[in-house]
Amino acid sequence: MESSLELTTSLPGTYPPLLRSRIFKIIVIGDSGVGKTCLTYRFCAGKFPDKTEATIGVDFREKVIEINGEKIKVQLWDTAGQERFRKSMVQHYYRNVHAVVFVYDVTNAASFRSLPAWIEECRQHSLGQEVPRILVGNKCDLQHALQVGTELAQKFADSHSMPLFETSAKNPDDNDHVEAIFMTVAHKLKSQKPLMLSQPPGGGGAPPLGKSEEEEEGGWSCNC
Amino acid sequence: MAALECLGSPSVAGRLSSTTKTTAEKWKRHIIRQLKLRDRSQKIMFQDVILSYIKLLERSHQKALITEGILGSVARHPFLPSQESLSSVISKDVKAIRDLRKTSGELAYQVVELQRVIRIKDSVLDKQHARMCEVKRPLGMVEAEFLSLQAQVEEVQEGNCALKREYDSLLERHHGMEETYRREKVRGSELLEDMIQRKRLAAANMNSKNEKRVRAREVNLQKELETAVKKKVDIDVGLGTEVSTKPASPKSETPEKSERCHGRLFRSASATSPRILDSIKELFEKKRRGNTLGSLEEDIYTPVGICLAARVPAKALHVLDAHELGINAVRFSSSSNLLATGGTDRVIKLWDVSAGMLYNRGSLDGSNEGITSIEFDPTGTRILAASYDKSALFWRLDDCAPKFTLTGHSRKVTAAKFKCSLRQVVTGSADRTVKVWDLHRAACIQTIDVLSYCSDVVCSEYFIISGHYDRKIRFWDSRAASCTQEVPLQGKVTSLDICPDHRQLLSCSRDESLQVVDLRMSNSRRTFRADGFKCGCDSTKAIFSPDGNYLAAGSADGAVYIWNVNSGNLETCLPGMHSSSVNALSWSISGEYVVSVDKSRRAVLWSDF
Repeated sequence: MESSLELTTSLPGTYPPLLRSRIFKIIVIGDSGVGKTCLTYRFCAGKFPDKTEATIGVDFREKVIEINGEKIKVQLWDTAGQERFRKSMVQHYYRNVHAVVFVYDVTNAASFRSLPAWIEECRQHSLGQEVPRILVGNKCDLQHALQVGTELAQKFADSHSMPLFETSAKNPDDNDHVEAIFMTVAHKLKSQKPLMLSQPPGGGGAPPLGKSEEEEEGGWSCNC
Repeated sequence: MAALECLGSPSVAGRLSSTTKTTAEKWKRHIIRQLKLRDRSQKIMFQDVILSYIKLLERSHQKALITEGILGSVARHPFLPSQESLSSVISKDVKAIRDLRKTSGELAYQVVELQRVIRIKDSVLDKQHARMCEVKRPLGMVEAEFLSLQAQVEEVQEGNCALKREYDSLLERHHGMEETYRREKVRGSELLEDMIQRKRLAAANMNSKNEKRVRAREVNLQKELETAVKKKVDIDVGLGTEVSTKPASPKSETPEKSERCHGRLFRSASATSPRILDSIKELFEKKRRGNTLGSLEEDIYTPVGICLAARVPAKALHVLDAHELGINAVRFSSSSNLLATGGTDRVIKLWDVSAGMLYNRGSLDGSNEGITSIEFDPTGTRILAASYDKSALFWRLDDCAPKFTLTGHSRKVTAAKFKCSLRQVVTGSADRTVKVWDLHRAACIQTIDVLSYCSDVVCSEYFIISGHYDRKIRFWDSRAASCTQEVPLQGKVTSLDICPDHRQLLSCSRDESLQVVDLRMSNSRRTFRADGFKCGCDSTKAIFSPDGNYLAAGSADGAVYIWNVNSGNLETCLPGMHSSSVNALSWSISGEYVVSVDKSRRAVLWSDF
């Protein structure tokens, strides 16, 4: 019903294709208590939440951003870090996901050590290589309690070919930074073509629908 | 006594004297007897009285005599003859008096003695009394103490009772609280479960919403693309160049390039239709396939990717030693960027194909012997492998331990394939049987005796086709388990492959030839040979390209040969990358990659540029 509505509203404008804004589904994963909720809240609401509790299942946060004049809806899936709050719904997290944000806590070495497990989980849900992943070290404001050095994290990020960001969802000066991180992801998603070019030709016979569509749209819009 | 008798009898006799003389005698005697009896019995009662009376009489008589004598001796001695007895009585009395005096003296002494004893006893008694008094005081104290202690005990007992009561009530409260806690906990977990359920629904909802959106956009795009294509028939060239100059998908770039450079490949997707047309075509294709498949079993899954045109590999992109021992099997998944290889070293390795390189993504353990064949299901999430250890193994990709091990064959399993209904798999074995298994139950549901060493099996919708060492290919009706057809060949059959459209069957045999059998007209056979092509071993695998236009097989000399099915000629030969016999190949569904593996553990990724 919704889709038909969508069709009728978007059809009159035959060109340029002013379709309803695109949605990027980005999942934020990491150990419990690393600040996934704070990070996403910070990005979507612009401030640090007063008080948060363990996320159960998943919380959705959306923000509409504009990149090169195109309005894009960033849909953040703030996932639960605790196993008992996320079991049985993990497959929903990974369905048609556009990007993955791995979060660890710089003051908690264990949360860094469990990153491979999270990456493994991604793999097990057969996430293609073309899905961008980034690594975020949170709670940078607590420099005195630092446990995970930037160098180590950078090495890890390099070995998994992910960009690394260290930030703090709490620090009021870092507001731009948090935003910048997600904007980076959004930009990357928006311009997936250069990313695709660095990959082998074709990227496989069965590209995710969303992606192929993006490519088509990209080709089309420059044609007009 | 005699006097009494005398007194009695004369009176009785006097009364009886008046009776007659005869009876009087009798009566007398009788009465006498009676009287005697009465006398005797009554005398006993009065004897004492009589005796004492007699004594008293005697005594009083004596006393009278004594007093008379005492008085008479002094004055006139009236009774001289009794003087002697008197003096003896007096002496006797004197003696008695002396005795009595003595006795009284003794008694007096005894009295004195006894008095002394009494005194002593008295003093002892006094002492005892004193002591008793003494003891009585502490006793009183102790008693008082005892009382106070008793009071204390009572008090404490009372306190205890109170405490106990309190404790009981607390315990009860505790129980109550615990009960509440338990209930709350259960409720909490229920709530959590509920919450998670809701969240799951929300997530599923969100996903489907997203998908709907994407689909809507897709439909829009498609419509617009159609209109656009209609409109701009004459500016194709411009569009093509623009796309190729733009860093668009390499898919659009490569056909053009290869067309220009090689110019030898026929393509259904022409150069004038860059990826836009491709995608449209793909959409149509999808639709068509979806329709035809609609009538089949519901769990048949259509792979999303459809190969329009396979590209003939020309260049080795990546060469690596993938296993520790020889590699027997290789297979692309339907998503074309995942590859699995299995070797004599017992593991299946998964590889990401990305940027022209193979990246190891992990391995699947579980087989106890070398792997002989691998197959992905069309969803690309499950792997089936056959093993030398007489079993077939089944993995889900999210779990590196095998989900099932299908055991039952008595010799090595040479091939394991999914049936069209993905619930079932078919295995062929060296033990001259083909078995059909139900994956839901992990149990063998059918065993077909195939008469000879089975080197490979393939499944079509209704047939199981097996290749044998006795140089025959046999067709089995999978429902009746009967051999419906035999195709004789010139050599041991080493492998079978079925064309993606299920119309043609490819076999490789030890007579160094490949045969393509048309499944609709089985007597129509075509043979492919090449100079230098030599079948390396009894399990060399030959394959169709995903579009069914090419055949590929590896030779004993390490070269990969590719034939064109339509022309029947050798398309290309790729020597030099393998140093030993090539065991198996796999062509990605997208048609762009070929991977070949050899006996000396090397894997080569080929592509066309």
